[in-house]
Amino acid sequence: MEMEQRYAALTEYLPPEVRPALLDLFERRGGEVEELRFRVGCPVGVVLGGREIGLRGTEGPIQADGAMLADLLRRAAQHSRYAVQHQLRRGFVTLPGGHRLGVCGTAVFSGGSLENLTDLQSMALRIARDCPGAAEAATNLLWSHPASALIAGRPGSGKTTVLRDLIRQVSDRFGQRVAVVDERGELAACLDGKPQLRVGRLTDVLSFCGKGEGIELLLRSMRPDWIALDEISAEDDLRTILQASYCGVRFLATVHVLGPEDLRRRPLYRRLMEAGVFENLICIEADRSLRCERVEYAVS
Amino acid sequence: MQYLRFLGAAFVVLSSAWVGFSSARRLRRAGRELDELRAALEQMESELRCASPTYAAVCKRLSETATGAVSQFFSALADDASDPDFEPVGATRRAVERSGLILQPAAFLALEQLFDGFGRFDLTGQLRQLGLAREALSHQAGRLREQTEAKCRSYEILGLCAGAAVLILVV
Repeated sequence: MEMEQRYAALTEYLPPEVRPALLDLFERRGGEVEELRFRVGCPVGVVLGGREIGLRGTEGPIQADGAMLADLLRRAAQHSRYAVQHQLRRGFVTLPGGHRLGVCGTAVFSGGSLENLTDLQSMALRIARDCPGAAEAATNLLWSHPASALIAGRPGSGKTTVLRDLIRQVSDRFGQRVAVVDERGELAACLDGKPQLRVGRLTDVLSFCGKGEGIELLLRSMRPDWIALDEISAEDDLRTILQASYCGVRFLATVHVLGPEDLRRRPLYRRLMEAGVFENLICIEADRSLRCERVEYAVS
Repeated sequence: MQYLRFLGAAFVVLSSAWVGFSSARRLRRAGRELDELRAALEQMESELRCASPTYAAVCKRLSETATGAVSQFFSALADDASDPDFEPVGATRRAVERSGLILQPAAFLALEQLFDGFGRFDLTGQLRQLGLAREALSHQAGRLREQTEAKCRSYEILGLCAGAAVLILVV
């Protein structure tokens, strides 16, 4: 789907009061719009190139209120809250097209676990982008050394975009099977079984499934050459990746870091690196360029 | 002249009987549609339990499996719900009007309560709402079934008798 169509489709899910201003903004600076921010009692914010500015309509800044947020959530859930409750429990809803709506409000607990979010306070809509060629440099590294690759970058640096392009290139250019655990529906954004974002012709997508369960399921059922997953953040993820790596499958994954030193400093990432699964490291720099390197492991 | 009189008399009796028979047919159709609606809600419950499809998707699926006015009712709901600017309140009334579904007031109220508030709850709440609507429709269907045959016979006989009465008065 072309970018203009994707933006037009996205605005249909937004409250009517912000649509004209947003369509105008998409027309002028479409590619730069990263996020939309809605906070009760504040003007609607737009993140452009990392900076947040207020969204202005014809009569000045557009104010967000509780009703606007509730309407936005209702639209994002396609009037079917039950259908997104498992996502809401994790604080987000994925819209058709892969755009992610983060939700913040008052947590409602039941039986010790987060059951729902009420009294919505703020929402952040991250706009999914398809950037063919975003992982060109990383693809070259993988071509010369086809081993598991870890993509590291700051939050909002474009890790998911790079991972998506890498998946596409491995699938289309290398001609190898890639299985994707699309835990939040952001990587492929499948709608009626069809990926809305380009992930390649040899790619199998498992949407809205936890990483651990997803890896096991894909290994059993799809016999992939590569498994791709977004944001390794838990000990369980690491354990499953390690187990699966013994089956000969290679991984494409991302991690949140503030700098390369985080990979050594944070215990989970240190263990991840020490495990020796990832032989290629792709760091996303502040200017969004890719620094690709081979990870050398000492042979004991 | 005699021939025309006979024709007129036949028209009087037939038209009056037609009113009675069509009322009876409408009542039988209402019963059949109510049964089909109950079956559709049962299928909806299974669909929600199995894959939690969205409001529009589940209605579309039901429109494909149901028949006649019930299929049109779900098709109208699906069309409405696929519009991002969809307003659930009033959706049931619009869909009933468009489909020509015959509903008793109590059955309509049960459907209105279900579909005008559809999608506001989590899965457990939604299934409970569905259960309540099915119960109300079952109750209505039971009552209708008890009365249908007797009422239908009455309508048919009334139609014929009314025609005969008018004929006697005129002649």
